[in-house]
Amino acid sequence: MKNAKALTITYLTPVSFASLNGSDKEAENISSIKKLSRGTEQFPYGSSQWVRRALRDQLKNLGWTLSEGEAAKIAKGAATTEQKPDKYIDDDLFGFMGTVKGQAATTRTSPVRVSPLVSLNKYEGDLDFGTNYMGVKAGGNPNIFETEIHSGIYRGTVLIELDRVGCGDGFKDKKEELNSRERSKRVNSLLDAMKNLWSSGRQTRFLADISPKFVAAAILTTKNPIFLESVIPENGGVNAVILEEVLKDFKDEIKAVVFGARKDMFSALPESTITIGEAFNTMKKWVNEHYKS
Amino acid sequence: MEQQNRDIELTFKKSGHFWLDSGLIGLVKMLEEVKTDIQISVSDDKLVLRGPRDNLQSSIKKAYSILVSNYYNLSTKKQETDTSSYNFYYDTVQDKFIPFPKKKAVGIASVVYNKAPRPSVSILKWKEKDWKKQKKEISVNGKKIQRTRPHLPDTHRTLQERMDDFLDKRGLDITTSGLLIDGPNQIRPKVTIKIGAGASKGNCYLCGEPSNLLEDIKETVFPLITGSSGVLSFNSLGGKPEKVCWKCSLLGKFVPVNGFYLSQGENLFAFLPYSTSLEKMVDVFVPLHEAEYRDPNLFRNFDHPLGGYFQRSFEVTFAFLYTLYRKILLHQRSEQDDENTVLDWEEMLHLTTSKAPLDFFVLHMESKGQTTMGKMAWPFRDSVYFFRLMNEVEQTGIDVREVMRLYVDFTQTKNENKALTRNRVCERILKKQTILDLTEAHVFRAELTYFKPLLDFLIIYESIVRKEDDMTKEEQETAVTLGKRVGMAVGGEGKKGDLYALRKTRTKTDFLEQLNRLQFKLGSSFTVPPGVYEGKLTNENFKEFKPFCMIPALNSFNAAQFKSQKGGQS
Repeated sequence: MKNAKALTITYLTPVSFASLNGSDKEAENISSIKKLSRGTEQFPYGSSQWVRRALRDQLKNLGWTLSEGEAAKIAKGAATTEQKPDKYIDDDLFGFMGTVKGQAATTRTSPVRVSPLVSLNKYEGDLDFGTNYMGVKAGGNPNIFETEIHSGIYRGTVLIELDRVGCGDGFKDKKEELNSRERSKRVNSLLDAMKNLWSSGRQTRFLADISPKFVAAAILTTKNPIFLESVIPENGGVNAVILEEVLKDFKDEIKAVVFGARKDMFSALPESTITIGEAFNTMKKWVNEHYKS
Repeated sequence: MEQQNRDIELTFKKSGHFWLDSGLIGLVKMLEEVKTDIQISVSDDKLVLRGPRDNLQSSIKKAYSILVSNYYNLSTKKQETDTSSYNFYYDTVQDKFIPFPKKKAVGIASVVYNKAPRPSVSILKWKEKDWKKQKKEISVNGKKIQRTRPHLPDTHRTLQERMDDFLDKRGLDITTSGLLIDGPNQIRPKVTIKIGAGASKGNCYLCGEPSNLLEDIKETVFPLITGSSGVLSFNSLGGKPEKVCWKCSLLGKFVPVNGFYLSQGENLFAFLPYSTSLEKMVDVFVPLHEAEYRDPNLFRNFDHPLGGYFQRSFEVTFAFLYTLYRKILLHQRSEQDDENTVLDWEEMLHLTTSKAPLDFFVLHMESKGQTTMGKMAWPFRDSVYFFRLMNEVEQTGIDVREVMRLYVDFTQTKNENKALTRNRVCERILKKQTILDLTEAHVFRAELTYFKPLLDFLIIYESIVRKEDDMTKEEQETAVTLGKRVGMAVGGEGKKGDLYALRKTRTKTDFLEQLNRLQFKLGSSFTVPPGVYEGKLTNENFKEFKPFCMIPALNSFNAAQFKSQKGGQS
């Protein structure tokens, strides 16, 4: 694992009934979800900022203290964080940009790259219908509301630049940079957050489990999300032929690879597939080995 | 001095960006309104001004003043007629107080610069710091009302009585922080014009040219860039934000001249004609702006004839393009004017394809409190297709206005939601995509009892935009015939539920089974066209066959129901 540069994880999560990531209102009393268009079809997605927020929240649930919400130092500027990557895991993994008028901005580009969680099934126009009676006793009328809902398989990818965690931009000097143990601890916590991925938005009525049910992960000597477009659900399973081809194409760059799945949920999987829990444990071992070497 | 008066050339290059090039057209048009002896020459890629430096400077300044008074510093009819809300200033030469209506920037100008008016000459602060608390009760039309009446500083104490008298007689309130002197408030974005000499201070971020005067980049140059603090917050270089030259900054202010707009609540839709050739943009300016309309309330500058509820991006774009089609290509000037129904092909070619193609950049901005959010910037490049489509549809006697009205869902109680489907339909039409699925869902959901124009439009439209690998014309005709027969039979003998049962089928087999059931139920009043069993309905085309059948089915069902009800009544 000595020369590894990145860990890439592409995951699938089937969702039977959800209204995952809210969008800007298109119509009065209809809560929309984010969608992208391909021709006349629309595909729901959870944006990457939404995935990153979910990961941050899970890190907090795992017991980490987050660096968030420092008021902007410039008038009307965006809120930022404490910008202390040595102290806070989220500043280290998710980066930041702080601006002070008259000074060059302080930046740290996130070593954790996140793709949106995109549905591979189109939006069928389904709406959940509801009536709010709360104001009736006070003399008002019942209020009709609708929420866009969707069912389908979502695919997302995370790429962790292992060589940039705990060092580089945002750290004042070499002394402030983290030791190997601390780096592997942080990356392993991120893996735990991914394994338990859950977004808190719209969960009171639409509780959804978006934790990975299939993962294709590889530790690489290059930085390339090799599975991002190549994990393709097919006839209730996952197309193994394409994944084999990817492994063949990148055999020189791949240090190790693992496929994990909630097995009985899929009709067909790559031969070497293990369980989700085992797959994440394998990834953690890679991370430990990488930072030890 | 002689050197200063020597002719120089000032060049504004076409940048290839729709916003700045629109500004260039605005500058050309405003300069044309200035009585000037400078030479103005326009070629495909640049505007060149020739003349003594002082003349160039003063001409651009005059052009800018015309721009401000025509596009930024405006009053609505209400603001002009409501004299009780007027502001006022003191004219030192005439020694009198002069009232003037309130001003605001509207349309595209409000996106460029939407700040409170500022004194055009000078302002004399009131004596009291808490001037807003200085109230006085006056009587206006028999009503007692409170008005703000602060005091003038001691230097102008002698004017106090006359000023109070002037204000009381008119019932005016004081809303400015001081007495305006020698000129009214006005809305005038700041610009700097620096022609000629001076060492280069660097290169402009937008045009790339070296410039002797660079300014901060902000929304008055290009509104999608965001304001100066936003530029700092979202500056991807993480260092000092880039600068723009005074010429690009100036051009940004002239954009409203070229554009059409419609404002709807918090939304503003702007349409900017654009071509790769600057000459072409100049050539089409006058014919295009024949479609311009002066709205007394300044909510829009084009008046479309398509009826109400046009409030979303694509339907407003459709309405704008239709206005051009009707007013410029059919030369129909008013809503009632339907005498000229022959398309002026020569004008269309002049407008769209001769010299260079003409595009329209569509911008949708939404006001979000103190800031404006750019929601869409979309180049529409198919104006020939659109105009020809409208011509083809109207030649068959279909009323586009009626079609647009039928796409409104009146079952929705909130006005905002009434035209949701229409917006999606207009988007598909503008992008040359099928509207079959949307139309089918709409006619069933909106409980339309009569929608024949919509059906006729659908059939013509689909035959134009469908590709070779889609359903054939014969298959489409079979579906329509089947639909008509189903509708007539069910409308006479069956129940509406029979239509819904047919509509709910998800496969070809289910669909055919349902047809069989209908045949048993309705007997001889329903016969299936032979084409259905002769291969015109396939597993591949089922998804399109069904809506092509269900829309005429509902239409015929409604007609049959209407007929039987009428028969029952008589």
